[in-house]
Amino acid sequence: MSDIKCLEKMAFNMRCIVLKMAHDAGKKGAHLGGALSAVEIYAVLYGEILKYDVDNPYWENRDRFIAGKEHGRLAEYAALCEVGFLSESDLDNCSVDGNRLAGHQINVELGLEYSCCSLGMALPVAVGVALDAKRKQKAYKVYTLIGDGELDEGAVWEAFMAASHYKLNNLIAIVDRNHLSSDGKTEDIMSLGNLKAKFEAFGWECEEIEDGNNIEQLIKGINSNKFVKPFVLVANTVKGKGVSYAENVAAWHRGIVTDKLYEDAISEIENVYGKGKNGAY
Amino acid sequence: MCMARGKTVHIDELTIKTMRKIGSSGSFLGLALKEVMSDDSDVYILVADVCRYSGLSKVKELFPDRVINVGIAEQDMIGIAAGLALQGAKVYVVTYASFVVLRAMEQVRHNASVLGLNLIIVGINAGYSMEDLGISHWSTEDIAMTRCLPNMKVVCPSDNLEAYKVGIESGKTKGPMYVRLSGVRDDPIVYEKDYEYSLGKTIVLKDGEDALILSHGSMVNESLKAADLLKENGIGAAVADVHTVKPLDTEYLDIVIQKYRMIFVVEEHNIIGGLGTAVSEYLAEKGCGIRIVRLGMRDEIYYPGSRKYIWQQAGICDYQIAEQMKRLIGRWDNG
Repeated sequence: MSDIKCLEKMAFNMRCIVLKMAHDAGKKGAHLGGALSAVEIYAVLYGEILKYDVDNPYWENRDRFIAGKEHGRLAEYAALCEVGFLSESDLDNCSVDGNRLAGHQINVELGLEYSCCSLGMALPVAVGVALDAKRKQKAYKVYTLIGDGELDEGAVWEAFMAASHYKLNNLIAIVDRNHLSSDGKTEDIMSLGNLKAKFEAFGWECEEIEDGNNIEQLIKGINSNKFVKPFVLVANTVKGKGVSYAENVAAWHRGIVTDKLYEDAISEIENVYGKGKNGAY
Repeated sequence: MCMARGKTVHIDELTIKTMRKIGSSGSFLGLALKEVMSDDSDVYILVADVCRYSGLSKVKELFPDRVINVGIAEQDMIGIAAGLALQGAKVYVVTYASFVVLRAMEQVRHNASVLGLNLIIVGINAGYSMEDLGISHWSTEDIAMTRCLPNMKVVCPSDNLEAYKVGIESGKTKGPMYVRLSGVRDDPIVYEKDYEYSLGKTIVLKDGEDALILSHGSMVNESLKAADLLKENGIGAAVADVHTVKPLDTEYLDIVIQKYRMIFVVEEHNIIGGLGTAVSEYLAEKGCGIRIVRLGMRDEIYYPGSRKYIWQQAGICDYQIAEQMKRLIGRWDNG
């Protein structure tokens, strides 16, 4: 398989994992939409871009990934499982009281550098990690993923200013631009407008891709970074991507995946992304 | 005068007098942190555009790449500090007490308390010390807010020398801490001579048989003066500096409840949630029947003005503390 094919396969597996975890959550429901929009982003990060060593998780020169938009954490866990930080049983037990993913907000051994489910917290932290790396002349890069709804938070913009002020060309942010937040369309709730122009006005280098669920576009977009300024990729994605009943439906920000909905989703994914597509997977 | 590299050096009285000119933030940040920064290259200070007013200007000149001005952005400051601390550094964050906790409370809770990172949150000009700048700049809830956060130590030095000593101690401690600096330039000296300081250990400044005053920060000096006034009336009041509000010095409280029937807690803070509350909680659970009287901001809004004018409204000037104590002790004694 080509590299792209491998990553597509990884994304396919991840999407199945996301659905399984959402289904396992039962009546509590799960943040499905924002996880599905970010599947390819996480696949590209963990399958292609980030430097890390699963056998040596504290490796000093690893790239640091500071997760924002933690409503998408099912996709993050799926990626960490695909590359070996987490086991399938970790994910199976994810809803069980006392499981090892619950409560531990930082667990580098499991690939979790930082975690906070409250929005607007990650980018400032990523700025701090990048500042430290600059002063200590470390070669590693600092990545973060933030949601478009998350951009409503003021602290995010404080951090955008700080990153360019301190010339953090070792910092890379990806915006999962799925155009929906909990209550509906971002442009109806709090319009974000022209994000590229905003980021550039804040002194960042910005690239925007049309399809943030496309592996090739994501890789090309991230690799267009010239490392002169802090870099942000705006990835236009589809919330609920791959599951037609959830695609672009705000209510699937968090929803209950019943047995029937789970089966429908899995067969759809298999048809479109799996068996149905060149019979590859 | 220095305590660098673990060696304690005697601080002479002239130096203590000179410290008055720089205020408690100058003592903590300008003097103590200069030493902490010299001793350890993995210490940062983040500041939200208050270098000049906090006494950090010289330290910034000495360590330009480790004293980082983040602009007037408190939430961002705590987040950036967390990022630096995640990689192993000890990080001080500095701005006015009214903003560093209230504006950035969620960032403080998650990054300092929940994650337990080495973050020292320094609130300068706490209490009413911003005087006629008004309520927006006063800090009368910060102890309540930080005290309820797991892992957080809360320390409120009472004068310049103590602020300096807390600064040196902060360099040695692990985990999050809130340092509340309520002193300003030319504030009275509580400790005229050098002394042994340790975090968490209450310091008895005056002995007395009839009642006990517990206090911290700017109110320690006011309490000492109140005790002098009471003495003139034949009432012996002891005064203790409870500089560490959390962890509470329960060992000391266990001793004093054997001795006193009334404890007065005086602080430049809302009576809800401060040291008075902490002491009440502990002693109520002990069930020892001791009476605790909290003096401070009485959950009211006061008019801006000079510090003394605001203290008068709250009833925490020396003579008001003495009057209230006299009245209550008299009533208690008469059954």
